[in-house]
Amino acid sequence: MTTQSKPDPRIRHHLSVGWTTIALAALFGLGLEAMHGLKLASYLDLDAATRRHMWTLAHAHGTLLGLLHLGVALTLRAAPELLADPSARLAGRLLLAATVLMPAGFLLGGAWYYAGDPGLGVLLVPVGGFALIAALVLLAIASRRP
Amino acid sequence: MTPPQSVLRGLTSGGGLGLAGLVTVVLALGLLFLSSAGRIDRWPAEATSRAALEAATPTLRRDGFVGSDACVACHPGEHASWAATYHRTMTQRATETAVLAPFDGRELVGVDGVYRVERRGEEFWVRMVDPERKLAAAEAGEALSAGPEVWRRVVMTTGSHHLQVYWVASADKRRLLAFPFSYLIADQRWVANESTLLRPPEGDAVYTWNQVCIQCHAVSGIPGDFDEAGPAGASTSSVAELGIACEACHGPGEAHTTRHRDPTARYGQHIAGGADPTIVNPARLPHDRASELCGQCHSAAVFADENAWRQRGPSFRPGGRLGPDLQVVRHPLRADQPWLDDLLLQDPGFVEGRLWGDGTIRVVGREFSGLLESPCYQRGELSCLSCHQLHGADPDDQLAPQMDADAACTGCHPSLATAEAAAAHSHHRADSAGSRCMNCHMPNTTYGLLGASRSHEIAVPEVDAQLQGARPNACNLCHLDQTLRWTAEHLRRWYGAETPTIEAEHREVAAGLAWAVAGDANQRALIAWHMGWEPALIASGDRWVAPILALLLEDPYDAVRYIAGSSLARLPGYEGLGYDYVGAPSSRAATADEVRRRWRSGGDARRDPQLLRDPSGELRRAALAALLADRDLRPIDVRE
Repeated sequence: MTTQSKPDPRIRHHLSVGWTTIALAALFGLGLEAMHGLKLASYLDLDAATRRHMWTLAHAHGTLLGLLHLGVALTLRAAPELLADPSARLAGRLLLAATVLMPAGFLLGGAWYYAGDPGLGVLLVPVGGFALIAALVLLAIASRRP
Repeated sequence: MTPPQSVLRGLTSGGGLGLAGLVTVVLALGLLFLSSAGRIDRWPAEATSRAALEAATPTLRRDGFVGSDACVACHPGEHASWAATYHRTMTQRATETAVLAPFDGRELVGVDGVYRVERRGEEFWVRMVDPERKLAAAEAGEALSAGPEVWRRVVMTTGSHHLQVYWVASADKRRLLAFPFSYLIADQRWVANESTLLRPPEGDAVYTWNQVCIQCHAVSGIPGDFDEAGPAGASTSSVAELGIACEACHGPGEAHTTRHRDPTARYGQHIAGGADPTIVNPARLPHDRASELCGQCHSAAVFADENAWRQRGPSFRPGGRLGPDLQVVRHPLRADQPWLDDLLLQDPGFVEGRLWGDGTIRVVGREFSGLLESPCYQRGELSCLSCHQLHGADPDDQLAPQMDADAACTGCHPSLATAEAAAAHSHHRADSAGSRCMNCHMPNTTYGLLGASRSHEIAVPEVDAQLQGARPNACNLCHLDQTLRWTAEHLRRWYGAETPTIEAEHREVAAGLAWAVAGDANQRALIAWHMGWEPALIASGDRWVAPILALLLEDPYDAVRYIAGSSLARLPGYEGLGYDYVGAPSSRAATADEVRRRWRSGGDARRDPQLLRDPSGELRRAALAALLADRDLRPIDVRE
């Protein structure tokens, strides 16, 4: 019988955020499918094309960002030296910000929208997008360090 | 080694031979697929065919206009609701989705020859009497006679709701000429164009699209020099878009689309709200400007400077005033329009073809002319958009919800909103057709498209004592079986209306019968239509009308016969008559005899003297013949 050491709290944090985000995105996806099933005009009408597009993007981004957290958790487990790297630490925080901002931006942009344009909530998306890119770049740099 | 790897290694191990083989197999499969789909052979031919179609139809212009495709990205709902309307499909290139008639090789017998329609792949072709020769004969003042036959490709269509007209390119000039047969969509049959119009039965005419239709059946049409010689199949006329599209009502869209490509401009507009100065929203216009926008097409009007229009197109833009560009023609009784004399010199039938003797509009599609004369418009704020909505409504008449009922009026006349008030005002049962606002104030006195539709001049019913040329009054369009005297007496008693002097025969004969027998062709058409209209049949009975409709089955005007046949087909007991309104006169007479036979055996109990009945219920032949001898035979040419 072997004993396993407890994983670092940050690994657990990414695992927790990742699975929670995926669960929420799946729940939201179920809601979208229900709106298709129930033929809700406020979602399916041509006038609601912007909403449909935004909410589909919210669902997709939530799922993919959740998977990214799981990927980061696996990375940290495979390369524990990254746990002490300040760039990787910052990347984790930026990824968390992106995980909140991007799906929320798409969600809000579709909840209140103008003809042909998402609502102002969509402004959260580019902020989250920059945070995501920064996180990915920082992780890439940290991974290259010997 | 995994199987895919082994396959790849095997293919590449022979010095590239295997890879080349793989590429060859893929290419061969691709060619086989394309060949089996027939696309290799068809592509060049299709492209040539499409190019010829585009060249023969009016050029699409982009001087400030962008076309409806530019609107769909930001306004998908509005675009879709417009796309579902008959406005969109008013004018279309003759593609397989646009053409509704069967081009199945059948022959159509015209007054001057046998025509043929057939399909060649995706193209629609007709064999017809040379239309240029017919036009030349007409221009030389000669009678149209049979001429050489030519094959022409149908390049454009007009209409998709009631009927569809087909246009071929001129061979020697750059204009589009009508194929002499149209397709009646509900009846699913080809008929001669002249048989779809209320015109004297005089044979044939050649219509030119670039001359008249372009004004309203396309966005911002410019006729150009279409009647000058030029390469065959090349149009000089241009339009911003075929059919009635977004920019017909919202104005040219280039400034709007250019500005709104900038997201800051879009969000600035979203947040600030209010009117967007780069585009016209008819709903934000004052009631008169909004209505004039519809009036650019839905009015009896002439261009102030026709030559300028022919060369540069209409100068009217949505949101502006019609006046400088288009002059709405009102009846000389109602308005002093000095320029009308010149117009009547050129076209003596202009007014009579569009207006009744009392000045109300008589032809469908000119609703703004009626609205213009209405107190609700002149003293109130009624506009076309008070009742109609162009997005999301039933395409049939594009009415907003509830606007086909009294709610259309009670919004501004709330004192008449209750059933009791309506009954007290109308002197009819509250739940009857006689208490419906529109039946009295917007009767079906405009003619067009082989039927009647509501007058858009909102007016008080009154009796015009003259039989000749008078617009039938609202009361007698339901109470077809009552006399003008009866109506005048009720209007005097209920509303204090002055009683006009009524000639002896109209004191004694039911107005519906008198108009149907002795009226002019327009009156006969309207009465024939009302003899199949349910409220009229409820109010005046449905048995007595059959012999009158039988008489109209033999009317000299094709349109009157068509309407009479349609009304008879709705009457119980007259099904399966097999009546053909353009069939041989002998067969029409036989159908009329059959109708009379069924009527006699049907037990019509009416003995009313105003219906010209003798005590046995039989029609008094001498009185009927006298009425017929008194028929108004002036030629009626309703200009649709």
